[in-house]
Amino acid sequence: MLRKFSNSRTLEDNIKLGVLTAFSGGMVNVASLLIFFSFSSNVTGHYAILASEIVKGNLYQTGVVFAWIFLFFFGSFLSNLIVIHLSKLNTYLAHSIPLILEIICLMTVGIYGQFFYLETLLETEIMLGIMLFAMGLQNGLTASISNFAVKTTHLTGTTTDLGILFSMFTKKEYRENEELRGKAKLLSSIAISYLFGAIISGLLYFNTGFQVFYIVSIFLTIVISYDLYKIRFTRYIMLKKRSNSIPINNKRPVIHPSLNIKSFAERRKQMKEETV
Amino acid sequence: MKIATTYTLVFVVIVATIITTISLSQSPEKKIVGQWNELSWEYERVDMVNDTNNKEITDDVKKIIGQHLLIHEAETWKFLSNGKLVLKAGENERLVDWKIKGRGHILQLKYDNDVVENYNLTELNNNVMVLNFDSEIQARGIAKLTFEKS
Repeated sequence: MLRKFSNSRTLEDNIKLGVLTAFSGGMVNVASLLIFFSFSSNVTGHYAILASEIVKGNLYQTGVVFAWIFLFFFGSFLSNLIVIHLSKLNTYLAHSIPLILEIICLMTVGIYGQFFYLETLLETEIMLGIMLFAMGLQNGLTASISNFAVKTTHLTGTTTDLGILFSMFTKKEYRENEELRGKAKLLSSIAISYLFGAIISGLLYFNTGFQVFYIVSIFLTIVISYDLYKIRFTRYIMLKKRSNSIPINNKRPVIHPSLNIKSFAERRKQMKEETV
Repeated sequence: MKIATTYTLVFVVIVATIITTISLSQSPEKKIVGQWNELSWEYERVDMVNDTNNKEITDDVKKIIGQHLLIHEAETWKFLSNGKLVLKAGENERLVDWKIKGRGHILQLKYDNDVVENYNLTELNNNVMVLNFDSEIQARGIAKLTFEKS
């Protein structure tokens, strides 16, 4: 899921990444809606709200909503910055760091909410900001490593693309196009997974409250661990293959030194004696 | 190096703008503190029969709409800075907890055994407060309550 970059990714890689991250995106969005009365994984609505607050002349709300939009943008910016600058060193690490940051953000919200939250407006605004930043990180990462094929925190683009694709499938030539069918499969998986995550979150929230963010973090940990396991497993297989291989020519050549200092010293002593 | 400086500068300017904007204005949590007197109850989705322009409702309709709500009889609302709200109806007083949620657009009231009521805080300035019943998160509620600060 995280080891490959851009065009080297297969449809299966994108589906796995899309399904798991869309599930967590859906969960976070519904949890924030139920707890804080505001969406945290999509910013289209926030742009509309920003415009409305500007029109109303509510300076405070304008500042808050603008800060949320900026945090989503900054999350995406930081995510891609890490990917493009660290990929040369270690692709897996570069792709994991944004998810690790996202887990830290969500765990912070979960722990703070569970133990310290006094329900003040400032706390709500800050926690929503952290969640929007986390969702920006996730969306920036998935879009960046999949060459903009996977976007998992909102479904506007996905639904539009699905509409276009299904209209294309009315023609046989498009219906038989493997690439288009793959894309439809990917987008449908993302949409279903997002919805499923949202429903699960809604059901869990009433029993778990802020602990729902721990569950989201577990899902993201699975995304990271899956590839770590794959990398270790591949290494193990390769080492095993090496040790099990049949030796064809295991005789080591004996290298005779061209200059034997000991024999040279003995020869010199011998010549000296002869001369005498 | 130049590009890094430019990016940093732009981000600093954005953050500074946000902080300045927020600090120059008053938070809804502070703005709401004080005494508010009920001006009117309006029903926004009522089927008008005779007078199509008048949305104001009678006391009977008000009772029907608000029969399950805590606030339906209160004429004066006194928001205290410690998160308590005193609802006054004539001689009767009731103390409940209040919170503001979202971006400052939801007023949440808690009373008794954690019974929660949410209202859309549609408008809040130094003189007028408008509340809508929170039927849906992103939709306007069915009834509109207007208050005047005293």
